[in-house]
Amino acid sequence: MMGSAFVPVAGTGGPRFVGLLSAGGWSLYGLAAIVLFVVFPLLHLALPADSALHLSAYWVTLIGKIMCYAIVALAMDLIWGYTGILSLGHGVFFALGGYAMGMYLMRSIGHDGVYQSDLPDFMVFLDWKQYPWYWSFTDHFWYAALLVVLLPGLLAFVFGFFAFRSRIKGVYFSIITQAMTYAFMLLFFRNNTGFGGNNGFTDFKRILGFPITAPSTRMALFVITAAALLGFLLLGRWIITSKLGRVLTAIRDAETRVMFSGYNPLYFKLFIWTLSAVICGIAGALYVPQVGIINPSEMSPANSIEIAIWTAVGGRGTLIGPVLGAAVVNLGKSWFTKAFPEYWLFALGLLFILVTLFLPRGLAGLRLWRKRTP
Amino acid sequence: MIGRVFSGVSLGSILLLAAVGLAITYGLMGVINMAHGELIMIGAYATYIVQGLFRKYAPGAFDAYLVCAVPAAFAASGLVGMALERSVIRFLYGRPLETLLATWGISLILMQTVRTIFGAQNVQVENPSWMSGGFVAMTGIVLPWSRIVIIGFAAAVLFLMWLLLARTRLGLFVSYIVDSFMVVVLGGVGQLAGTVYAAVGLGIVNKFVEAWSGAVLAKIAVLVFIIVFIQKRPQGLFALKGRIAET
Repeated sequence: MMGSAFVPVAGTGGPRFVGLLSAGGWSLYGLAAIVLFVVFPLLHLALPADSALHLSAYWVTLIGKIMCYAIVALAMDLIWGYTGILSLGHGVFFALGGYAMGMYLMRSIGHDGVYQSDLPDFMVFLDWKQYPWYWSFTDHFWYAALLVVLLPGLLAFVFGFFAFRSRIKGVYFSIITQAMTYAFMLLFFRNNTGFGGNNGFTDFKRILGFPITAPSTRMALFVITAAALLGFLLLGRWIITSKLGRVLTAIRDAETRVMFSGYNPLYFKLFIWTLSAVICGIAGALYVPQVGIINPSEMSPANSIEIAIWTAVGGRGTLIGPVLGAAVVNLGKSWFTKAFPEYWLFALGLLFILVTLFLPRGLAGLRLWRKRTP
Repeated sequence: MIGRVFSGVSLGSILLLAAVGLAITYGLMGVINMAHGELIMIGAYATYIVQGLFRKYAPGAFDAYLVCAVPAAFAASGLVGMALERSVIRFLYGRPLETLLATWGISLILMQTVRTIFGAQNVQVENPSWMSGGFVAMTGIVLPWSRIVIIGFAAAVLFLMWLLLARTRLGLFVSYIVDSFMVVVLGGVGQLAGTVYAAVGLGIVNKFVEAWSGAVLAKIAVLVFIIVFIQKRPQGLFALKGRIAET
């Protein structure tokens, strides 16, 4: 009664792929690149602020933030849409990447904090005299960047190794990932853990010496995020069209058969799971300097479930779907929370129910823009 | 020591009341109900309403409100649960991951509904006077009546559940409808027992670790324990053996 939990989603892989993207796909991809790398920067930086076409700081930050979420949804799709493993703990990898970057940003504040001390304000407040050992070297950007990749990667590797080795599947896996992210949230909420307790990190001043709120810095972060999103799209495309991707979808559709064919699913699952976590970590690291805050609520179980819903709304098993899903849900959220704050949860809840009941393939399953070929 | 075991058992029996429901929806129906907590919440708000009615219209009989509140809570949560099954869950049988997402959506809606009606503030529910105070077991050890009542109530519910599932035609029908009879004999009833041990055990462990390390670390320890435990026994305390386990 627990088997066949997965509804087969849009056709993936197969020998029909010649290049990474179709001709139409490449032109859309190029168009997106031009808009993100040329049009938006010009609209934000070159036009005067009172011009009607000026792209305000609010929108740059919002779109930048949504692109980070889209990267997370993409990572979710690799593990859920293509490999059939529903993680409800991806928020923790996102937050760890964010915290790693946040440590560097906290150190870059220098003496400009409220207490003008060597230490971040929250440590002064706790009456600590020096940095704990795990803060060492975080004043170097390269080291923080290394942590962004290593922390989520290592956690995912260890967690995944034990879970996949014990052949934990389906709902059981989803539940222990929830337990993991909840445990991390409780840990990071403690003041004594040394990451600022429930306030987290905020009030950043500069990154690599550039003032963090300056329009040019903001635009640079935006462009880097866009490059990461487009890069990860191609990487994902490359993986799923490769032989590795074929094995992953086979694991999703019939894991026992894959085992009997002589493959050990453990390493395939472990690879894609760890990669997915690292991608999430990078998204988190790009998110923090743009949004200007990271706190433990990013690790709340609800946040991780929301990631799954972006992916489901967009359409599992299509790489572009989750990107669209993340954009649609989060644009909806920022509009709703401004226009009717009390109704957002109703809308989100209804969206969950309607998508699972009526749109198992998500928005991408509507195929509005595709040719109706069999 | 005894006091701590006792408060562990009473925490465990609250966990148990919540977990028996989950064990049945998942064990017998294959439905992961993320809105289970909200159904509990509806029961609690029903109690709050009954208490308010008693205070307003029958302050003399206030001590008896609990007797009315239990069926009211039962009916309120039950009605909402029935509505959910008919409107959403019945379309998702056999797809546990989908039920997880859909019921999470339901939980958001229920939560926001209650917040709109009752406000986001906590509301106060007062114990009837016969539940305050305690039973002096030994010098220095007082076992509060409220906890004794909770433990007794949980035991009674559990007994009724067992009777219903194992001794009545309804239980037989449920098990036929839901899946094969074998699963209920081996799994369903077994899962009830597993749930009892797990809930009471977690309650006691939680209270002991809490005394030693503080509430937050105790919670973290319990979560880590659960993660490790599932590694060792992926199918739960009372695992099904053989071919049914893999289906």
